[in-house]
Amino acid sequence: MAATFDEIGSVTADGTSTSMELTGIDQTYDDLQVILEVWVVDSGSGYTGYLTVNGETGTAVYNSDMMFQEGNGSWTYQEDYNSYSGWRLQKLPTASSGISSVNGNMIIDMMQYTATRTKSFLIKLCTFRPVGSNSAIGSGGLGYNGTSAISSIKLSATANFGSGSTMTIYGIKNS
Amino acid sequence: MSGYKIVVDCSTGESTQVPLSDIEIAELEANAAREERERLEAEAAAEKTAADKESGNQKLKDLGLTDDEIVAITS
Repeated sequence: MAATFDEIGSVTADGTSTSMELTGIDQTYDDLQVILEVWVVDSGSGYTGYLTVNGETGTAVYNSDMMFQEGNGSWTYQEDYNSYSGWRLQKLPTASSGISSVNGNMIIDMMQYTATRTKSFLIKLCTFRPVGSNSAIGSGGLGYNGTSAISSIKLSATANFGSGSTMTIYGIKNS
Repeated sequence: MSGYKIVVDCSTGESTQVPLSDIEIAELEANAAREERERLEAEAAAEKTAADKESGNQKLKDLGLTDDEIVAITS
């Protein structure tokens, strides 16, 4: 049987919400892929979002090793933390209104997301701005210290996500 | 802060917008405060490093080293 790659669910921001959440994730696939195309309604130079799963709060559940480079090559950054309630996603692009080319593009691979043990995932990101700095290109590992299967995913910030921002998850079934 | 979240149930496709719970708001505020604290600590550390560098360079100059000599031994 050929491997399958199916869209499980998608949520689109309307510009009035600080969080987007997908619940009731199908548990019959082998792996998940989460695709984020987001921006934040703000005038600042970059925003931080937080990704959480299963409605779990607390800093002990999430840890991360991240590295990224400023889009104009001016600096690099790396961190190893477990002090936030959620996986920290930095440098989300900001805009005061919708611009389709201003997007924080991220792909998160959640391998064996139904396993009832601690899990580790991969993230690739390019939080792109067409002009200037305050973008980031990078990758990292996301550690999940809980033991539940992943059944819901939520992206949050302290400002509204821009209209048209999306979070979509795909289920991958091995052949 | 206050806020709303859009929730889509993948099993039904139903989309709802609901207010954030007090716990969700508290977590977001705690994250933001932690991030600001870390930013200020990093800024202070960078300022101290710059001040130490300037002070060290001046002490080397006081010993009679030229700028080129200082670069040669510190880079």
